[in-house]
Amino acid sequence: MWQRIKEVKDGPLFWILPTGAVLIVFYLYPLFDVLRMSFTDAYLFIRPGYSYTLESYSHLLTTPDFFFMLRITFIFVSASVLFQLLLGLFIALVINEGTRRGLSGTVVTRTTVLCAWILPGVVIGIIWRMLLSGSPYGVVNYLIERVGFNKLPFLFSPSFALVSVIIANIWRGTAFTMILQYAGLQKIPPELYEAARVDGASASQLLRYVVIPQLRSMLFINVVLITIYTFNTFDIIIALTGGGPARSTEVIALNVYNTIFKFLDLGTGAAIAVILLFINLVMSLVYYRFFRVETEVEI
Amino acid sequence: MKKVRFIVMALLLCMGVILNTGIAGAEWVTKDRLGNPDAKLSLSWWVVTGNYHESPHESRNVAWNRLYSSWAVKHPNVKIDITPIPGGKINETMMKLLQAAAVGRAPDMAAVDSFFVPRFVLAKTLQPLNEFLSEEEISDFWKFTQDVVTDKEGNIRALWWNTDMRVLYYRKDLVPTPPRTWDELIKVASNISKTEGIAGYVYNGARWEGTMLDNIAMFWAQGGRLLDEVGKPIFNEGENREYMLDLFRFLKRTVDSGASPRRVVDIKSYDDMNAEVKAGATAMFLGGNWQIRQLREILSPEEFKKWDAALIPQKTADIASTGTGGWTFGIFTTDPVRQREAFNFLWAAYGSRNAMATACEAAGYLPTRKSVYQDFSFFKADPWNQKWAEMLKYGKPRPGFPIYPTVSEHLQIAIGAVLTGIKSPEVALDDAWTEVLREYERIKD
Amino acid sequence: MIRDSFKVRGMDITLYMCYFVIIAFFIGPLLWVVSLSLKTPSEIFAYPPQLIPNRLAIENYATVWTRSHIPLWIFNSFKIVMFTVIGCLSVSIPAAFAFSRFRFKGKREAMFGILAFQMISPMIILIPLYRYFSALNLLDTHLGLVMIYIAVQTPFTVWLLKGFFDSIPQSLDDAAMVDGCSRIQALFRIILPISVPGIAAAIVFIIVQSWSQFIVPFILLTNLKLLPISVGIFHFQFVQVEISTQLLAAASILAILPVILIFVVLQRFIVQFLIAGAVKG
Repeated sequence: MWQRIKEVKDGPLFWILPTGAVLIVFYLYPLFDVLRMSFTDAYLFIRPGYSYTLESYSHLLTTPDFFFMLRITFIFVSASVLFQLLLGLFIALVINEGTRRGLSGTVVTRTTVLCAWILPGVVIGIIWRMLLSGSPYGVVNYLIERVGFNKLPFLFSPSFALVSVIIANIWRGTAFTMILQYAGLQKIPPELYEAARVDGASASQLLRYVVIPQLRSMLFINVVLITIYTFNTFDIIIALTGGGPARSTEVIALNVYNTIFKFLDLGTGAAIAVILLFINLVMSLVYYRFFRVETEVEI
Repeated sequence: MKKVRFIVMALLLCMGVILNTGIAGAEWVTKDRLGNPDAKLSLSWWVVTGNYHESPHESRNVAWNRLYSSWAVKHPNVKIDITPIPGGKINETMMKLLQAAAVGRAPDMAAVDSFFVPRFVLAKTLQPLNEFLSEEEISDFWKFTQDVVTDKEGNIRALWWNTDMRVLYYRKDLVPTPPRTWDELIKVASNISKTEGIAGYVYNGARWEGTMLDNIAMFWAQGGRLLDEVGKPIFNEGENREYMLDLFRFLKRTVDSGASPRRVVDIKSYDDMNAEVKAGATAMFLGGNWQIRQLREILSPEEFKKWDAALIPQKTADIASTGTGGWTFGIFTTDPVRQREAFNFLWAAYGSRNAMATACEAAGYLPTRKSVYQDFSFFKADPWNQKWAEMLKYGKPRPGFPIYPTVSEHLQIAIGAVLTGIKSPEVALDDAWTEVLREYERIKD
Repeated sequence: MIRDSFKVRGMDITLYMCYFVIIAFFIGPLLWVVSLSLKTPSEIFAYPPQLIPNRLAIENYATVWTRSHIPLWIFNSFKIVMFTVIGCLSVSIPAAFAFSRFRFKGKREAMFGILAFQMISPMIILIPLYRYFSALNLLDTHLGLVMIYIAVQTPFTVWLLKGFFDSIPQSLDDAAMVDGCSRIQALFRIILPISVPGIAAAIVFIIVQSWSQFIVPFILLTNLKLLPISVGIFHFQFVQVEISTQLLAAASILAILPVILIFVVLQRFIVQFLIAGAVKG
């Protein structure tokens, strides 16, 4: 018996157990409950009982605007993720290079990007409203007019509103990518750079053949996480446009929030959450393939 | 000997200090607790951060400090633990309260937003207050408040102590007579936007509850009803459909004619309209009665004098309506002794005529009791309050049935679609109707 | 030689310009929050919009500081976040290490399974969580809140750290174990010191994401004295009261200052650590 225990102790289970325990005890029950709720027609506080049914799913999938909202969500997520990734990577590279050269102002730059991330979402919404407002006190439009152009309908035209929301989200979320990729850049062995330089590589070739491949697994986890986060983002949108005008910025996460917290419709809300979970899982697998993570290191 | 005397003197001094502070009453009002700290009975109380003695505004704090102190002195056997709740997050806060009540963890008494009261009543968590109120007191409250807080069996479930309403604010120098009908409004407003280069008329058009509450008065005035007596949606049936389409068409006209700028679909708070006023960017707006105070705060006296208020313009000149909101207090504890003490406190600090007058005067709220407008000098003498009292006759609260939030949300979406031209009024209304009915099918049982 | 130094200079200048653009883009709205926090209500909506208020309304900060429990709330946030960091790292580091060093069946499934926990937003699990915690008597406690925070932060921390451990060749472990270390000792003595950048990144994420959580602590905590600052600042958002946007802005600045401080300190610490040659190479 001691042999078995020793085996377990030498095996991976022993190491993974604490994580498993935390997740199972504190997260699994609520998670299962959400799954379970999606198969009911439960309502919060309005109706005490509920029955098991697939109605919540069918209700959801037959909602006229559901696929419209999915489309809005995908636009929001893909634009946010893409630009956060590019911008964050760019900033990480710039800072990395700057640190290497001993430039001052690195800490200030990093901290500034970080500040955008830690502001509460609602405050970000309020501020960006003030900046993008079509009213006279709107700062951005004021500057645009000073330069001689016409005001832009940032928040009251359906298409512009979506763009505005994306920009605010990029502004807020880029810090995450920056920090992650910066950390990733630290673990690239300097010998690789030197070897490439000896071979006469230019900066862009260095980027393409040394940096990016080395960052692959980091980029993978980065993309997966910011995709998940962006799918779950709604606080900035609710503060900025409330999902409007009409439904032009209503992403799925916002719809979930309204469904559960305003309409008290737990069944449908849970169903949407489950569908979101599957979308996230599928996207993760797609990213996995795309980044060919498994060929780099056996996962 | 000297030492002993000294000690006795010190002790007497201490006792004196202790006794004195005990009697004063003022020290019984602290940041987190009201009443005698040694009191046996302790009540828990959730109150909105703007409506107690630790708000950021001195006039309120002074008023409530006074009310709380005099209550504390008269009730030395009770103390109250205060849990302030954020007033700007009404939905989350009410959700939390509903949640707490559902598992039996509700506080003894709590603030409940007026249009949430029916949901709490449905959940059967608010205790009846009839035994604490006399007939005279009950009928002193505005009828529309009584209708909301009284359940089907005639039990009064909440103490609705302040209300507010929406009015048309206009600049006297640009608009000599306030428009009474939609046609007049459009005419005056589009004229102003052409000749003065500023907006003629702005209002809440974005996706939030304010858009609903402000504009729906134009539907109600015509006789429209959103829901029937049992809470079934009827806003697209029969005449109601015509009334709603009229409202949508009017809103569409405001932006199409230039009376209102297209950015109204982005006006998402009453503060947004304060901003428009401050920038001199509008001649009229549909705002809340409390904004008169805010305007006084942010405008210069000359600018402020230019503004006046009137009833919301309607389809024809002979009808009127205005949406009302406000806060109530509900009692959750089932213990009779605690109920009585809770009610005593709420009455002393919010519900009695004196308390209501003091509080509402300090905070700029509208009292919910008719007699307060007549019998208290501030309300009787203040021209604005007299004006509000006249208009409050047409006050109408939102129907608190469970389907209401869905109705509100979809009508907001519809209004947005109409204002941006995405959908015609008919299509927008029908789409909203379809969604609401689908949801209603699921709720009703 | 001179040509080279020009090239270096040119790169430096380009980099500085990049710094400038980056800072400008990110700091603009931030400056606006600060500006808001120092304005009086009538200045908030002034036209034309002014960045610098006519008079610095510092009393906003005084009001916010005294009219609530902000010092206590900031302390609460520190406390909660500290325990979350410790707890999360304690469970994540072993798991990440195992995923990195061991080969076993179902490893990929387990990893994706852990990641799946991340994919359901905390907002959704909040409803059943409330009832669950109520039954466990964990409502209105920091313990319950910290456990949830740990559960929320662990999945990605595991992935992140695994990625870092992966980049450290197993030969180092083996060498250490040949010298008589157990796996655990190998972890602590060899691997962790080298993984400082990764661990630091993980710590930053845990801190930032836990610090700014709103809906979870808002629903799970009621006692005023237990609130973290992320919830507390909303005591300054009012409806239909005298204008108070400036107070919310001031409260927000106070809420993020501690995190900025931590970040700056952490950066210094990491830089020192790296300079000390602890990085392999």
